Amino acid sequence: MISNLKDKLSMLSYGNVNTKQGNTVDRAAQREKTALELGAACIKNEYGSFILKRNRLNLSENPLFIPSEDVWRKLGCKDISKVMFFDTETSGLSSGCFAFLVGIAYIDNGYAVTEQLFLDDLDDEEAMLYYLWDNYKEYTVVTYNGRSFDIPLINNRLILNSVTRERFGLDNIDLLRYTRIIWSGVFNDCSLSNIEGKVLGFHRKNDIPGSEIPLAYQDFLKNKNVSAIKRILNHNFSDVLNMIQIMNVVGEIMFSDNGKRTFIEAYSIGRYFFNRKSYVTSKGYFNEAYSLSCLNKGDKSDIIREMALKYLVLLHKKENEDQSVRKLCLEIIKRKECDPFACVEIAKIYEHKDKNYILALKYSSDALKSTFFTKKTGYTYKDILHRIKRLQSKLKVEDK
Amino acid sequence: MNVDQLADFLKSNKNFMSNVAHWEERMPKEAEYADYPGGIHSNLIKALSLKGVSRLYTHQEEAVSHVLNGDDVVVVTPTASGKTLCYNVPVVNEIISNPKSRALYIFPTKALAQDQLAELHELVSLAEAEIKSYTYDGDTPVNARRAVRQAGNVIITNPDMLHSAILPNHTGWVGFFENLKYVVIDELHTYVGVFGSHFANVIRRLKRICEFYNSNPQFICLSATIANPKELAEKIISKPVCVVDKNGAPAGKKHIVFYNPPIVNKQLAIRANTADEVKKITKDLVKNRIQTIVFFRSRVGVEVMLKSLKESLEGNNSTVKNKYNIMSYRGGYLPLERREIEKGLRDGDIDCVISTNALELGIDIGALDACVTCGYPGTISSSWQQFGRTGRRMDTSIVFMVATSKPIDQYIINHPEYFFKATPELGQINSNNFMIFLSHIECASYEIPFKDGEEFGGIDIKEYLEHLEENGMIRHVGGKWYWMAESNPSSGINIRNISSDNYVIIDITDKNKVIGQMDKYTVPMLLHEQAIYMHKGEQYQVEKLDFDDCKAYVRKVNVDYYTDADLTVELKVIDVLKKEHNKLTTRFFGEVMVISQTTMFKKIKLDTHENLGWGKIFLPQLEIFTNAYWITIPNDIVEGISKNEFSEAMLALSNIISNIAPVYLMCASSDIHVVFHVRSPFTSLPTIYIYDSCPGGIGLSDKIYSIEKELFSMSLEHIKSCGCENGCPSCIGPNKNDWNVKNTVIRILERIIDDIQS
Repeated sequence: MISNLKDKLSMLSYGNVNTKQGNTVDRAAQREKTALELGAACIKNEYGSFILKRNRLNLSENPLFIPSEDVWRKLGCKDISKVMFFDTETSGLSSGCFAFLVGIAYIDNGYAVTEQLFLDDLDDEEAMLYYLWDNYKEYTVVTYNGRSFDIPLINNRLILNSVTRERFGLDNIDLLRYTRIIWSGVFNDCSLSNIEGKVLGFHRKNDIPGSEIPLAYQDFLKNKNVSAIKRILNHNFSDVLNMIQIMNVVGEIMFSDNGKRTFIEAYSIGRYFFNRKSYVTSKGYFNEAYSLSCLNKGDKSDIIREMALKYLVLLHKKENEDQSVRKLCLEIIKRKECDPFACVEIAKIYEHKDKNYILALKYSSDALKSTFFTKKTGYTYKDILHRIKRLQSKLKVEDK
Repeated sequence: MNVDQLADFLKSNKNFMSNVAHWEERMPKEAEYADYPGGIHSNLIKALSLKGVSRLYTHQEEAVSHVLNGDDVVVVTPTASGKTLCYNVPVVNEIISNPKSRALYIFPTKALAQDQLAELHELVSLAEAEIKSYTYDGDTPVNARRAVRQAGNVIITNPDMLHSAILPNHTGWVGFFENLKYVVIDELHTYVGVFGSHFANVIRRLKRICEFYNSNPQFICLSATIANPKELAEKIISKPVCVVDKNGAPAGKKHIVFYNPPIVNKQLAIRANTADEVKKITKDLVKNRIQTIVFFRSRVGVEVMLKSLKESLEGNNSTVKNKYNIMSYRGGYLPLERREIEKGLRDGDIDCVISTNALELGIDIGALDACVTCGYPGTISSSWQQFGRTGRRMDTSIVFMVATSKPIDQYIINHPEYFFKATPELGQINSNNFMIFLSHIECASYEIPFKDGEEFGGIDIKEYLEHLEENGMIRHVGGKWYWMAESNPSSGINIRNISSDNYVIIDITDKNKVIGQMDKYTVPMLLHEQAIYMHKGEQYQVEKLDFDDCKAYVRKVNVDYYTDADLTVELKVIDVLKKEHNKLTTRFFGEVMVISQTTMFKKIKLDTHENLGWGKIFLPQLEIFTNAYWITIPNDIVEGISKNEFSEAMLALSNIISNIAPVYLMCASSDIHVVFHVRSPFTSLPTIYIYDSCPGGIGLSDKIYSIEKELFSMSLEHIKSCGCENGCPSCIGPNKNDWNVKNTVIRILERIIDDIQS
């Protein structure tokens, strides 16, 4: 029966026929050769060997914008001496893939140090993971989209390779989260490459597209041609160094007091804190968004100004600060005479607090002149009509 | 009248009794108790007594003791014998002692899983134990899954979820696998055929993963009555098991009545309509307020019977309306509707429920007083499951099996000794079927890379790994075989099916809707154009079969016939694995290549099995490797018949074998095919081949090699006792000849049996 197995199996072809890849190559020699061609070294430990390319960038010669201590802390780094920036290149996008390249960067005494751990072949993974775990297990790990991808992937591989069952990167900061908070209203794509282009002004030349990387690695395994790998190393190098700078920018925008924020960014951050119910914090940002937008001209600043004012109305309503609410509504009405929201809110104050039904009725009627009504309860056309009817009947009673 | 009185009344009714082929009375049985084994926590004992259990039945005590002893166990007792305690007791006990312990419960359906979860919760809260149990299946909300993985002591799931979600993501279940103490497999007898073969491999992967995390769980299996529970359990878990099969639960007196509708056309041997007979019997039961369950094979049948029975009982008298509460039950109902009906049955509010075999599996509906089955349920095992729905404690219950004119039904009804004495249904699997095996090697490679020399299921897998390497899915380096393809292989593998080239079945009646799938080997037989296709009990007709696109377009219909495709088969022997030579016959078992083609189909009337017409089929050939049993017989095995006659007799013999073999093998009749060669190119003699229709073989023809004597004897018995003159659909097939084929077949069989026995 066994002799037929081959025939039977050959009936089931998957169409992607490969020539057999030998298991007879001298791995050590192969690895040395690749390392040489990549300008890297071979590292050996009790689990085997892998390729490591190290680089030290003198910061006085290469000014990178490094986050201040304050920013590190505010973003959540517990021990500043143990922070590393982390990015992987993987064999694919699904959860069962592995990382064939791990890029690490950290600041050490005026230098930006990068370490790139590369797998010449799949059996080097154990050694590489052991090195990663052994040296960096207590570090805070900063990534770009790593919380949902890179870190779970590494943890999966650590268990599969029997290196450890403890969690790597328990303490982690995902920069994507912050870039989304600040810029999701501004850029429709918050990917690392888009942000580094638009925010840092950094444009890569001849960069290998991310979608080509898994296939390039598969080709390398077959033919051991390092040219594509060199491009991947460069890509990964830029990734980790740019993350440091993005962290700097993000930190400054979110947490520094002397603002370096645009009105849109201030508004976006305010909205983030509002949605998380940090009302006091959000108020500060909305105020800033308002002031900054007044310094600008154009449709964008008009929209942001109006939205910021409306949020401030809601915030002051929560504190029952009627005078502030009235002032804010008038600000809105100044530029938009029949805005339903502002008119209704100010009418409410005139009706219930001042008992001034005439003014309440005036603003309610103004609201009806609007060309746009929201579906939100209380501000719909029907609701406003209802309000007017009620006010009219109250006035009739008063007359009597 | 109560059941006892009704039984007496029927026995005295000459008309009724003239149609009764057999009346069996099972004597009542007292409960047999045993004390709790040592080592059970007092809290647990207290909890059980609060549930009304003060001592265990003997089989429960035996099972629990075995488990506490460290053995793997298979418990084989009928429905409603308290099997649940056999596993809940040791599991809860262990977790109370070691709160970190985990257990995995595997049920074939989600409904069963929900039932068991409720049971377990009740026990745990009465025992005041800190035990968390959850179901983990497709319905578990995504944001709850992580909590379930990390905190659940008892995880309840199904084979599909285990295969495609839990095992491939085992690194998210580290704590679970490290502390896994017990794996419970319920309804073991459902893991047969293709599904069972896949499941055995899923368990192989599970064990491999447990080994990776240094755990070695015990298996507790529960099975309905089959002939070989020990063998099946051992094949599935690859470990020796202790069998617990002496039932200590009590049973009341049970009447089992085999009822054969009277013949209305003697020449063609056509019988009265089975459904009508079922209705008559059920009416009597319901009128006497005897809570009854009626089993039908199809949903259509259920709905028709419901309507008919209601009309018959209520007539035109509107005051009598709703006097009897009759409900139908089938898989298509919403879970809420089903829960209501189940409750109504338990509480006694529902007088009669008409159901498909959806109510056969363990769902709790309490116990009823009577059962009527329309036709033989297909296997002895299923029959006892259906009959097992009746019988409260020590009260008398009654069961009526009303036969159809299908050959199997007629055989059973006329051979009650077969039904009651022997349980020849065997649970068959072939976990090493090369296609199934390969697909699980893919999954296992993804889960943990194989090392050089490592075996899977005790088999050397080097060639399988090399095949996957050649196809770019695996990379062999440094002594290990790494998974290289992008995606998780298990998501493309359906464990209830054989091949990955599945056809999609699209219902075009209203809007295009996908209603199911079928593997490409079965498609030519069941989904050819104009075929009547049964899906979940409803009838559809195939309007178009797109062979290139792998799609079948069907439309709902309501007809009174079914279609049966003729398969032209060319068979080539590849390898002979077993051979036995006697004076007249030689029997072989081995590997064959089958080239099959369907060219035409017959239309057959539903009740009477008359031939209504035929049609042509235009489909390409299919080629498969599989296993076969074949027997050669000499041309002159019986004297004085012409070549033509002999050829007809061979055809008749093939027919009877293809009807009887599935009965023995507990498989569907489509799982096995019988062909004959008047002069086989391999043996140069007249030869009958019986092969597994599933590529790679599923263990069926292998079993035939060991039961050939019984198979031929049974066939002979059946023909001899069939009331027809010269052959009919119920035995050797319709006969259109002058000479008596039936006699010829009998003579041939007698000589074969003689020869085998010597």
